[in-house]
Amino acid sequence: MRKLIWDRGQKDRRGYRIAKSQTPAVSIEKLLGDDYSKDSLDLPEVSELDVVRHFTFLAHHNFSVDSNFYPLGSCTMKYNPKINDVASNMAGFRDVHPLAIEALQGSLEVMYQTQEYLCKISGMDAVTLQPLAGAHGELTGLMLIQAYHRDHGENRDEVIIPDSAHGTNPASAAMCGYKVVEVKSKDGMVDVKELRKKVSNKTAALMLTNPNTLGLFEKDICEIEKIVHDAGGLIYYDGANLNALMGIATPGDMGFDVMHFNLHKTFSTPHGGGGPGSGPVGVKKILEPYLPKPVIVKKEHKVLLDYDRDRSIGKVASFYGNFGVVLRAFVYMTVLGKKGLEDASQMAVLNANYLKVLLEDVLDIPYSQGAMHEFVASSHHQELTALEIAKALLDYGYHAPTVYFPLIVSEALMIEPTETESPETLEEFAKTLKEILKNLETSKNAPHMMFIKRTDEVKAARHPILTRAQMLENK
Amino acid sequence: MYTPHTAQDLKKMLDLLKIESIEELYKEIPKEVRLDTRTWDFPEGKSESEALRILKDFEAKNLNLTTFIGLGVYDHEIPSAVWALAGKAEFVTSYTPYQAEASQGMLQAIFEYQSMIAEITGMDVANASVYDGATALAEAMIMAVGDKRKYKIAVSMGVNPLYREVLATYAKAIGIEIVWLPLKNGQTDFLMEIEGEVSAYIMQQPNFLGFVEDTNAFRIKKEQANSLGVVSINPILNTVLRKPVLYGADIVCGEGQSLGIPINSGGPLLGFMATTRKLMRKLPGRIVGMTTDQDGKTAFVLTLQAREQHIRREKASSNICTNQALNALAATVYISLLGPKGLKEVAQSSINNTHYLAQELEAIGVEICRLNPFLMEFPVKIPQDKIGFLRETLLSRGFTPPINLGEFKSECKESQDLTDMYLLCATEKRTKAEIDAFVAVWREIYA
Repeated sequence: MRKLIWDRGQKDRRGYRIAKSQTPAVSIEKLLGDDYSKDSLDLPEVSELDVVRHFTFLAHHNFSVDSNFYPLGSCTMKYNPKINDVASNMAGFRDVHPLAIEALQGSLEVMYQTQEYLCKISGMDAVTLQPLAGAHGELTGLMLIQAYHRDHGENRDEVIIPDSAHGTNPASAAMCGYKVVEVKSKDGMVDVKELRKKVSNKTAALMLTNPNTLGLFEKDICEIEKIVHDAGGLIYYDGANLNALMGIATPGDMGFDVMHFNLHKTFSTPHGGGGPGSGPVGVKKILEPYLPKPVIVKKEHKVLLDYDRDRSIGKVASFYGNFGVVLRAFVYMTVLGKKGLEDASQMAVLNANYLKVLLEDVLDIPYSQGAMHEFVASSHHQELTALEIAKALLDYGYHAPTVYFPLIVSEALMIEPTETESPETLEEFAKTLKEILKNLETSKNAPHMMFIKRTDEVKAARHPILTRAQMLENK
Repeated sequence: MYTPHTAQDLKKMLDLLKIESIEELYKEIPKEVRLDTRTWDFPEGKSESEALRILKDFEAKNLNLTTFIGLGVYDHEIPSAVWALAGKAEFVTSYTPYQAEASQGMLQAIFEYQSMIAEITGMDVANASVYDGATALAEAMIMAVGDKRKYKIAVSMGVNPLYREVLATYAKAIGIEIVWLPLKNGQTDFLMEIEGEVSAYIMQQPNFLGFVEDTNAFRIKKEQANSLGVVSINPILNTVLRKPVLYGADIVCGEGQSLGIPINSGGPLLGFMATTRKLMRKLPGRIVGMTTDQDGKTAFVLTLQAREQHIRREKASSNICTNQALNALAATVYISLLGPKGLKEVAQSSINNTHYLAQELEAIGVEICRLNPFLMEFPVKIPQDKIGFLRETLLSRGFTPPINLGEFKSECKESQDLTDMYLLCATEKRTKAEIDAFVAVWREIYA
């Protein structure tokens, strides 16, 4: 039976004791009256060693970049350099309170420098680090677009989004009150003819990922830019796939007005099992007045927090962003520099293309021409579904690619090897895929070697057990 | 750096691709948008030791102060084991657990986190975390509006002013009208008449001034209005406070940074959200559920995904994708180490220290604002002729100056005036000697 942390303990066992209180004891009961609670909480009572064993056990049952090849498409699971962790553990950054402004100059300078670097990489004019993840960046970017149109007395309520887009794009647009207008893809790219029909004086913006989720560079980008701008709309760049383009091309030069970066993709900050991420937003001059407050600016060698921004959309987070994540990205950019960043993008594209060719006689690759940092394969003509292939890969120690996305490819396997993998790893991976497709019987019921077998997701959703209390109730 | 390709590798790979150079891989990019790296102004790379030197220079520009402020983030003790475990690379360098069989570790940890948050908040269910306390409250507002379908909400002016600003930003974008409920004598005037119907009443317990709110007034008003109750809490203090569900909370959320997470110059933090079984399917973000595998063994999976952006796209309950999983894990380790008694001791010890600080300051003539019972934070009034020198002296002696409440935007004219008011806090981490040394500086200024 699987043990929860509660099951490892005994009543009254303790894992940590805080320093004994040296100041006079306050009677909280007297202080609070009816608002006092003396209820005991049903929380684990365990020793430090119990806790260490438990979470070490859990760590051993978790795939990660440090232990496994993790070609999860669109997620850019590149290696996370260890120096980044050293930086984020530096006490001088870690222990400073964000409202102790006088104590924060070093952190502010790191943030300012990071903004500058991101501007140079993206061709944007200004950057805010406040958004806390990619989707939060999207929402912030759309708020900027909304503020811009409102400020210009325009009532534009539609956002155009390609059918290949990440789910966050339409979700962010809807959250910001926009109607989502979908534009179909043709040969894996935005159908320019259809786009022309969809733009109007209601178009607030087009959201575009480039390279798109199929890994293809939208080669008509200049025409797309013109169509949207001519209609009075703005263009949003989803930075999820920026890893293909550092030192190669910039969203700024492509005519994008606003974008988000995923520091936890392109800039090597770890994903932490689902976060924290960081989603800075870059803008062109026209959107700068609307950036969230405070804006980090430099005045006479001093970096300051500028709150005096009357056209700002306001704050989008408690403080100035996920600083610990920003710091890691700053170190990454500092270490790599110009040549390193360019090399990272080049090797990411080379690795994807190399693996694509290795897999051409194994799987269908529907949009094979001009793949950049990732590509989408399909098991449509195979005897195994994308899900079966994904699960079989786990037995061989590989994390699965992204499956069933983008939605426009059936039985999709979206593969992004990233630049930090060696050609041998890619060759082994291709060989493994071949084996999986040969050993149909074994593959169909995979995984066999993992801690658990295939899970019952329907049961999980129909009869949700989301907490230990619900589990006990259920017994 | 970090790319393993040798010259031989490159040759082998290019040969297989039947191309001469990497440049050919970029032929789809129009010439006019290609970056000219000769003119691209970006610094050259650095060695590790050079980079560390740069970092140390920046670090040295931060001041190492003893913290006597809070307002949403608090300087609590962090047991060594928290990050020794949460910092394990198997957790740190993993992605959102899409492949359950390969991510049972993280999934179980999040299930345990959800269980603990539900227990501490007193609610039925919790999600796998959101970004921070402010966005948790914004998500709760959206959740309430989505459920009640009234684009109007009532928000207490006792809510953290930084959170209020985030709420206002979201509300403006979405088209939600916020009615601000004024603070009077340190507590929210919940009984203020509101025209029309509101989706939710939103409050914070204790409020940002540190005062305990009138929870009965909140419950009465929220029930009369047939709206949802949203309460933002401090998870440490909530271990000694009446559970929000007892005074009408339908959604409880807050900042979880106190649970083992460093202040990090302001982030990453930890937003938590908990709710009733009834509203479970309206929660934003990831949720982990318990199920079984093919052999009937216990297993954990991401569940109720029909709410989420990657399935529902524009119809999703929120756009959130990445959350703060690693910090949720750290909080799980922290809560496990402290246990039910340890958490209450943190609350007790912090309250002792804060009250001792208040008494000591009062004894030397500092005007403490005692409008209502306070727990871990309290406001003081500081005359204008004293504050400048006090700030400078505190800084030069290695202490954080108090937070100036007059600087925050007041969305509501009727709310009490906070000019010359400052906020102080003393967690369990502060020693008596530190508090005494801090008070000694005030004594000099007030003498």
